[in-house]
Amino acid sequence: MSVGLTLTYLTTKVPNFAHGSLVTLGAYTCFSLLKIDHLDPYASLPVSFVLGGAVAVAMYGIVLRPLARRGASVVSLMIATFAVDIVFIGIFGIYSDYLTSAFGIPDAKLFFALSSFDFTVGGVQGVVLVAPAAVVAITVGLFLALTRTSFGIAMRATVENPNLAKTIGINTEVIYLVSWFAAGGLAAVAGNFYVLWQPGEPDVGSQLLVAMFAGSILGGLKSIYGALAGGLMVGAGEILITTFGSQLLGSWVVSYEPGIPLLVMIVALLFFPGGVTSIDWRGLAARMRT
Amino acid sequence: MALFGITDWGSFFTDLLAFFALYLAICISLNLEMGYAGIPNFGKVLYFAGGAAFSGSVAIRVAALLLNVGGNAVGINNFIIASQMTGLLKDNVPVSVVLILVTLLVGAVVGAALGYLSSFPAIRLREDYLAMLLLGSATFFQLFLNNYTPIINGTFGIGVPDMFAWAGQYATLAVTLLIAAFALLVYLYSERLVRSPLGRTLRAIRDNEAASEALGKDTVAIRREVLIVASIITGIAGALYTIYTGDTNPGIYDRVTWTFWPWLIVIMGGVANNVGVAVGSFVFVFLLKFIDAAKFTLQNVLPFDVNWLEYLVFGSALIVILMLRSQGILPEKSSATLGRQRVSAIVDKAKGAGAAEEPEDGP
Repeated sequence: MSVGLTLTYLTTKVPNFAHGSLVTLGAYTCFSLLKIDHLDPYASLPVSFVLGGAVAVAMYGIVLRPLARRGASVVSLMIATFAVDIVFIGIFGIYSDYLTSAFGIPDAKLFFALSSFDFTVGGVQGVVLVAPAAVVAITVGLFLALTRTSFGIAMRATVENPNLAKTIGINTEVIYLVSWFAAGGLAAVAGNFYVLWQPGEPDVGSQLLVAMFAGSILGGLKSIYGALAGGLMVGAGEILITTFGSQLLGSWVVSYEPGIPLLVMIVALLFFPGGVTSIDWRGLAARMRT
Repeated sequence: MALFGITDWGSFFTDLLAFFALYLAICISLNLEMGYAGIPNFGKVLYFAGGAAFSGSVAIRVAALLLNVGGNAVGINNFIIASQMTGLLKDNVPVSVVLILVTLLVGAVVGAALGYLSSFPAIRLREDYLAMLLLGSATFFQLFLNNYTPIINGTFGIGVPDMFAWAGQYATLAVTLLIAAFALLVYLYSERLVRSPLGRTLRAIRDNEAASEALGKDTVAIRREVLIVASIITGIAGALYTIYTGDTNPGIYDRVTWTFWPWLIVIMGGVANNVGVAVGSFVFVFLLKFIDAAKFTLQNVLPFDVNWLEYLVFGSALIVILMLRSQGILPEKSSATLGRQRVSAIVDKAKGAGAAEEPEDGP
């Protein structure tokens, strides 16, 4: 999820507050395909990816690009993405009511984790194995695409310096559209995985927004690999801190689990606002030794 | 007349006025931060929740002390205790007034404290980082109230005694008038502020921070002050909301209702224009309450929950406004200057004084 957020931030220089809703989109795609067409949750992954990507591109093309062209400030772009998020929550709400009335699915508005539809390997739920594998595959794929293909290199050039990229004949608009498509697709895929593990509702993604921001900031908003590392660290940190914290300080720590991304975010902003990738590790090690 | 399902027009308009006044106060404070000082506060709900929760919590404890009501006032018997207190307050105007003042004071103090805290990131971070941080803090605060029971009994929330019980059947009207008076006060204060030299300094800082620093303005201190003042206003608004509804629980402090709607209002009405914000508040609250009141009629026509309609309508409204009329209904006006005659009068006077003094100043 954080990867997609960073990808959109890189291209438009605006934190996308509607990113959570793209996650919700994936969640509901998985849910409705499963309930109506009895499609395997994993088979709905490509559908989620394409849908999420298409919606993200539409959002960029219809709302953000015209606004940015008119010279809207960062603040108005932010509030615009916030507005898009609200519209999405409304649409998903209406959609969930529609599912209930048209297909007689009573729990569309708040459904339990779909873990019973997942396969198991030796008692371990499939998503636990598949999701990390997918993350690794995405990372490797992104890395290869960004370093080995001419399109990836053009993309990096556009991120570094859009004006210069334009002068040497790169179509930056296409690059932006592709980035948004990839970002939306990844978010929706993440949502598709998420409901296999956790319950879903119309604003499930928006509730995860803080965690996503934390991942992006910790990774440094300027680096895609950083976002991967950041996302992993936030996820792992949430679980590690709650587990050890509850042993050390008592069980009340567990209820504050969703607050840990915020803590991570504050620490990151205070001490290394550029994210983990910006830290000069060699310099740090040298300072430690002396 | 049961038009659009509204049967009781009296209470419809009282409710309308109360919410209009509440949103007006909050939006004026947001306008001070965002419009005049250039601090994009995406965590308005934080100060509101702080004011509402702590004031309710303190008020019922003070009431327990003054009225000699035993038991854990914010525990499981809270609603019984609160209604018992309401009964006692009915004939006890002095204690009621003390309670109202305490509630408002706590709202203000908590608002100020939270505003002071958030001024640390607000003067350091860039706007996009700040937005993420404040949004996150507000979510965390809600989580804290949900889990830390001593304040408002966690997710259950607490009931607060009706401090206007002495007004009998006019109790709701009395609270509404109090809120309206507060909003008016905030409005007048803000109008005075933005017309003062400080108001012009704020705009200068917003438009060009480096230049105003070069001219010797302490931008950090001024921004911090604005944030604290705005947070105090929002905190008091939260306290008033607790008095108005008679109870408070973490579920009502969601970021859509108390962060996004105020932003919508300010942008719709006109950034950095208080009259515009007032118009915006009225239009928004009227639509909101109208959809609310017409819910039962609409519910029969629409195949889904009407609440989603609010999200859809207001969310898309904001996008449309941003695209087509980003300056809002009433755009920002340049600061009021003195009339030409008045200026020339002052110049003449200065010249006259200067001429009179000149011989003495000469060598």
